[in-house]
Amino acid sequence: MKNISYVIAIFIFALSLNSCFKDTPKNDMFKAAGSWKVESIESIQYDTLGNQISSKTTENYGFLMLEHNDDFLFEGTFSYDFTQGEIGFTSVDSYMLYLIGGGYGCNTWSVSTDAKAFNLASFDPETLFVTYLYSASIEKLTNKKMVLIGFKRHPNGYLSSKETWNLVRATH
Amino acid sequence: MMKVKLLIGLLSFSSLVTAQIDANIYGGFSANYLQFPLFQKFVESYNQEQALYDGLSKDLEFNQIGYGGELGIQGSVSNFVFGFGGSQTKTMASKATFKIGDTRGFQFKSYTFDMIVGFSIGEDKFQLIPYLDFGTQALQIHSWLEYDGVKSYGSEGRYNGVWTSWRLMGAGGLKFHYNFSDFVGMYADFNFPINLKTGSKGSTFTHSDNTTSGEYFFPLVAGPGVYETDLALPQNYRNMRFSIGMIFQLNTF
Repeated sequence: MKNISYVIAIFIFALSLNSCFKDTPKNDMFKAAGSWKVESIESIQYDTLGNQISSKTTENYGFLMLEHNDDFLFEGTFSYDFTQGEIGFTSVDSYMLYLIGGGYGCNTWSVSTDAKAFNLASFDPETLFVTYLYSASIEKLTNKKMVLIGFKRHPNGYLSSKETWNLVRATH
Repeated sequence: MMKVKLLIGLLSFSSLVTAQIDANIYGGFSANYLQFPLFQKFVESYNQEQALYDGLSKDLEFNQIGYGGELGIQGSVSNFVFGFGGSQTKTMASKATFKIGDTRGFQFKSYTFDMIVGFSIGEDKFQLIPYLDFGTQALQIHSWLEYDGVKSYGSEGRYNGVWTSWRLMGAGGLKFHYNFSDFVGMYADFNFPINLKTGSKGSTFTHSDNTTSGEYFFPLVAGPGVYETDLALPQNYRNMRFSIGMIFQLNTF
């Protein structure tokens, strides 16, 4: 009984201690890291009054590899393999696609604490300067599935585009 | 005289060590009230700014009420009570609605790890425990825009994202224990943080990733549409908590 008490006490201590680290996204970064298959990208464009003017969906749009190996830096590198679905979907349809393809020197990613936002940035190794480029919302993040939704807005506040990335964990 | 004091101290310590230690685990639900004067000021200035553009159909209202849970372990030697635990709370969403139909939302989430030291008054059945509480507290601001029910934490919206902070916390509290039997009981706990201001023992609200390091949550304190860029939102908050839950005696050893 005495030993069980110690085990329970240590378990609760560890569980409670977890609240100390809620100001960093470390665990969420590791959760998002890995190889993802881009199952589909759905894109909707809106006019300046918020009316839908076009929509487009592309399936099997390659593989996105998110690398993260550092306990202390809350950023990682990524690579994107377009091989399977390069045709038919342009950077106009998807701003995230443009950035992930290297637009504006985009070369790093991160997620926010509680895995709410997926951020893309440009890191200059010479100056060590990070330029924040774009942030999409994480609709879902599990070990098997990730859904990213990126929005852009017109200057008047109305939505100009919405793109949804459905990713599944790659098994290759 | 010094030696006598030392001897008394050693005797007291040895009696503490050889005394019976009662240990229990406790867990329960809590209601909280977040007092955050500068965020309230931000809410007012946000509404003033939006009024310039006639953009809101419903003003932003700071919802300070929340709920959460806690879990911990507590021991007592004679009347001396000590323990540690963790708690999480989140406020209800504070929302504003734009005339074009979108919604702006804020929500606060708090994570606390703390240790308590107190003393108990009362018999086996009913106990009153005044205590002091020390620990760390992380407070997050979750901020989003909502389009047709879809929340966005992305960069298209000002303030969007998760903003985090931490600080050292001191609190005072009062616990009531009622034991149904030797094994199980219930408790009620009122926890009142002492420090409304943090000073240097903590951090200001920053975007919660390294990519945007240096990006602080700047409140609109200088007037509508005018940012006070020297002043990131400080942690002048107090998260009061009232909890009720169950106690399970681990054993007596």
